[in-house]
Amino acid sequence: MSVVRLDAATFGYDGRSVVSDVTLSIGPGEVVAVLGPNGSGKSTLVKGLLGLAEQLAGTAQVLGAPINEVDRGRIGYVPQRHTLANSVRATVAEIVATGRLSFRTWWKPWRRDPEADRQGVARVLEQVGLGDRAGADVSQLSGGQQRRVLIARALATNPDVLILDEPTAGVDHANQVALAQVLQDLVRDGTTMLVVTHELDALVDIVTRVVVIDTGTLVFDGTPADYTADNFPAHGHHHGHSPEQFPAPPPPLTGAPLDSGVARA
Amino acid sequence: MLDILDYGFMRNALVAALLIGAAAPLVGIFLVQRRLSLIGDGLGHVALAGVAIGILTATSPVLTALVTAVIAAVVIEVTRSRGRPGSDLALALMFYGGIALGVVLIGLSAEGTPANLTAYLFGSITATTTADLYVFLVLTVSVVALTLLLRPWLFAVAQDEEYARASGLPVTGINLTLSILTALTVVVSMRVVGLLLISALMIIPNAAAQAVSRSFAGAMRLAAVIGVICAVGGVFTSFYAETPSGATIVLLALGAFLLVNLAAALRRRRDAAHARAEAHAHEHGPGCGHEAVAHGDHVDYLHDGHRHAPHHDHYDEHATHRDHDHSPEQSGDRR
Repeated sequence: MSVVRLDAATFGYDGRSVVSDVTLSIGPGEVVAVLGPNGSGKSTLVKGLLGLAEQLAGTAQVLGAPINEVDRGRIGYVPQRHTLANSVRATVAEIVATGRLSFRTWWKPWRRDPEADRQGVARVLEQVGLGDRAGADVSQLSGGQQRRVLIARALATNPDVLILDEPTAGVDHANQVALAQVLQDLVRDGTTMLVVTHELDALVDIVTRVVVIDTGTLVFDGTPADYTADNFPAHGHHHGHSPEQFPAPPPPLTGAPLDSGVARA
Repeated sequence: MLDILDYGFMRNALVAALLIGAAAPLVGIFLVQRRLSLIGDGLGHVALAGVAIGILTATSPVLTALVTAVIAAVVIEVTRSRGRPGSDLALALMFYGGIALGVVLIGLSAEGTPANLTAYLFGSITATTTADLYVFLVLTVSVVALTLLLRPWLFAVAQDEEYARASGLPVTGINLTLSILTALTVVVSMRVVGLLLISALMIIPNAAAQAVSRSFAGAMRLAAVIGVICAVGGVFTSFYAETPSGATIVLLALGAFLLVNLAAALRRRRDAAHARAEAHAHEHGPGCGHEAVAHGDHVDYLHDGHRHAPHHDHYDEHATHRDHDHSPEQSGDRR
């Protein structure tokens, strides 16, 4: 059974399509990197799978059910966020516990199992290496640690598929390595993953398949090896894509390593 | 002191203050979290029109204010959540319209004295009737119970609406529930606090609690305690100083805000001299997995790039490698 099955699916907002005619089937245990320049529609694609963008055409199924019928608790979502700091204080455990709400029913709020919740939160925090930070004020954590809190929150639902939007963006190298390690452990446990990213380098060891979205259409679907061989230099400081696909960037003003044509946020 | 309890109106006012002192901050923390601190003000404005309708039609002003505020709350939430251009303007027009209509209608009524208007706008300890009190009691208990029961959902939706939606939580329903809870709080607060200052009791205790709390649950509890102290204290003060109760409560709350912030600043200064590491269950020791670093007369453990030194029942934060030479004098200062 496919975890994700799209057949000529089109997603967008307010009736306007952003990414169209995508046909894609993702099986259990696959780790799919979704690449593409900013504004290409790759985020809209995964938001479509989460029911956050409208499905405008085609068929789309996640875990064997149409998107508006799927049990959302089985999908773990790590949104693209640069900070968890909010206008009010919250601890790491309080944030992660929101992921446990998929086990509760809001119209029966008195039905709860605090012990299971506590253990569930402790387990996922241990998984992301933040076992000793449960009581910490989340705004005091580094960006990389906050990203791990978001992953823990997604894991707290015991998901069958994990969707991550730019998990490594804006995270320093040491934390990228820590994040990649967390994801690697999940891959070993057989978790199916969709990772929207600009930085294949950080994830190259775990990715089993690469999908490239450009200007709202799927332009590449293959193995990381094909992606690299097919004029897509994925290693080194280049993050990206063939010169034919994306215009070359202007020459760098400094001596910094040349980035690819992929615009960085 | 207790002789003031011989007055029926004071007993009513004190019970009402106790109820709203607890309820208002409990609802308010979610408004602060969603950056909607000013919504309560708008609802208060619109509720005045409801009060005026009650006075003019000789029905219960509390009842008409309740109906008006709940309808307004739903309209506000729907308008706001659509986020169309101009929705901000639409809300502003509604708020101005509410208060203007209220003032004009109350002026037209037989009871339309300036004193009466002031009581509605700024609160009065003599305003709470026994009939009101029973209504307030039922409403406040419902508001507090619903807020506490739904707290995990209210928190999740306010914390990250997109994630809540992706997780299949009933985001629209929860947001509407919060709006209605806010409307109910506005109405139960209008006698003692007054419609112009209601929002203050929802917001200021939370602003104060944020300064010293680390967790959401802790901040919520502290805000409720501050709310009760200020509301009850304000009613007492209002009796003796003969001031409008709402304004007195708000000034007390602002005083509490300043006091708590002062205490927090003093604590930060003390902590700067003696930096306590974040609490953790992990116990550092030989072979604990964290790198041990000799530091003067003791051993620090490298933990996420900073150094923890055992000190009584907790760990102190000692300087990092970068900004610290390891001279014993310095480490002596730090302990």
